[in-house]
Amino acid sequence: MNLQNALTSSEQNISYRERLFSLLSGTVLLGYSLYKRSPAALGSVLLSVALFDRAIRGHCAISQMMGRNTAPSAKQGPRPLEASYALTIARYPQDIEPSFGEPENLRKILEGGDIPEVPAERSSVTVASDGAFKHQFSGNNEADGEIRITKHTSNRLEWQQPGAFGSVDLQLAPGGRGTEVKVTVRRNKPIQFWQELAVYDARRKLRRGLRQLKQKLESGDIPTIVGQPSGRAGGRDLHGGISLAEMASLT
Amino acid sequence: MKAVCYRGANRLQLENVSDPKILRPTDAILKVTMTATCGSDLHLLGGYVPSIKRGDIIGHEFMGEIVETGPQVKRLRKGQRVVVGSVIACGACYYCEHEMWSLCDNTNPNEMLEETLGYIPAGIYGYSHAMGGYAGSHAEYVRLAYADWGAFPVPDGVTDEQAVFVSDAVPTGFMAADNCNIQRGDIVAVWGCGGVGLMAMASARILGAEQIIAIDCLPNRLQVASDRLGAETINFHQTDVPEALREMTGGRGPDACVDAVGMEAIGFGLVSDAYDRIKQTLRLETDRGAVLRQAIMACRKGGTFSIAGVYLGWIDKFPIGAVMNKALTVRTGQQYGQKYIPRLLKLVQDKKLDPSFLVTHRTDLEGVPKAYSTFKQRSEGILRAVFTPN
Repeated sequence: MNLQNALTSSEQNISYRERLFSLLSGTVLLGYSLYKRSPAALGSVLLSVALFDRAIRGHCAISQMMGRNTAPSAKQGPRPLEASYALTIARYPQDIEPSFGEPENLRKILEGGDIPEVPAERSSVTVASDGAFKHQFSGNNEADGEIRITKHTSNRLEWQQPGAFGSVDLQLAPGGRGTEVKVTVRRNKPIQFWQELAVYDARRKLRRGLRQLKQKLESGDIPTIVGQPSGRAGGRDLHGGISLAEMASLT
Repeated sequence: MKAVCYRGANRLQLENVSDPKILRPTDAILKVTMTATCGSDLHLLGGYVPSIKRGDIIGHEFMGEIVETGPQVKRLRKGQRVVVGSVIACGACYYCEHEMWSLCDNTNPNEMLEETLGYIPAGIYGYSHAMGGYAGSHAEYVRLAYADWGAFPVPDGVTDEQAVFVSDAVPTGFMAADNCNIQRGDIVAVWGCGGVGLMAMASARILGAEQIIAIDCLPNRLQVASDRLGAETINFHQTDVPEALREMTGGRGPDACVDAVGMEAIGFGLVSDAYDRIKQTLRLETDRGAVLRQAIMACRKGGTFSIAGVYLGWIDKFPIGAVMNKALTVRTGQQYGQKYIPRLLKLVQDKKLDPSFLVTHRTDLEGVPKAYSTFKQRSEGILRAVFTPN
């Protein structure tokens, strides 16, 4: 191991996620050091500087000495943002597919905020003798001019929207478990390492949207606690907020 | 309405909060007639469950009278006296259809447990936002979510003091015993003589266990296990438990071991206890595994280890070598209440099971903080406290 080489090399040898982690942890450490402002915090400052260097250059001396390289390959370059989420819904594909076939509904699922609707009619779907199903495009193929469904075959749907595109794959699950649903979102523009958080956020939204669709299709409802009572809603104290220890001392 | 709210570690407060209302068509509103303490509430109060928020209403073992139903509620009607399972299930997903009710895919609106557990289990009343954030039962009224699948009519002849524990303590203990796959001649050892442990012993007896061995450190609770349930007892502060179990089972070890203690286990010996407590305080481990370790070591080869106690995160020094090389079967999970409650109500009605002896303290909502203080200290001979809000 050549320590000097390891410390001075500019070769990128760590992944985007490691660079992001270094950036975030360096920030936290620096903030903590500035808050403490003690001589002992000097070491934390130096460590945070080293972490920033690691994040910016994409090079880790320790990784190099260990012979470890997790960086994306030169051919690959910065990768496009891709987030996906899969779950199984206890319904047949033809019962699920219409929920994605409506662009506005697809938007709700992708954004994980609004509750997706379950279309009441599925007259546009036909099922062949081999189990494959076909969807006839019906009505408006766009949601507010944003999401446009570009391909719609049995078990797969593809769409485009400004800056992004994606797919929905439906496949029968084994053992009568229902349908495996996988939704993938891709951004056209390659992301920088600090945008890894965007991947996490996109996946989180997908998870929320798909779970709500599953809840709606399986149980007929989407659970909520919004609007339930709690002591946070300006509840009035009737008892003085006594602790359990104080209670014990009263006996 | 009045409700008991969490206000920080070991701090409860009786407050005036808004009345619950129907939020979803599958909801019902219950007027609470009785609600009980549970040992797992102490994990909440002790600050071991990070997702509980100040102002949350606690309590998850309860019964009452239906006063309102949503438009999609078909099995319940106003005025009906029901006991409600702590776990909320939709009745329609893969897990519900296979009677694994506490694994329901659809009733937990919160997704944080996917990061820590891998997949999201069912919602639970009054047990933090990780478990859905549903308002608990230490209140005058409760909103029942997916009410058709969680509330069970109480048969005539079953008192409130019997029925309330069929909400949680009894099905948890019964499932723990059921998981032991008890065969003729089996000896079952149960760690923990609280409500769940005692119900596990009672259930093991019903399911045909030859001998029950109860392990605890509180003499009064061991006495209850002996007097009420015919259990042989071991006080782990006075006796070496593994050696005693070996002797009591002819050198074989218990056929099944039940952990009815959970994450706040007291260590067996100063070093063991200090090790776990220090690590837990420093958050280097989240749960104390003293009982897990001891039960795994004590269980006979090829036996079953049934975990009823609540664990939430990670423990240190787990004897996986003993599990593997002794070919132990480990079975666990939050209770499948919807599977067991009807059967348990029948057992109580037929006088084959009577959990009412668990009630040692009784008060209204004003007395809840004091009752939990007593419960936490395990003083005054307390087993369970029940509260009558209305």
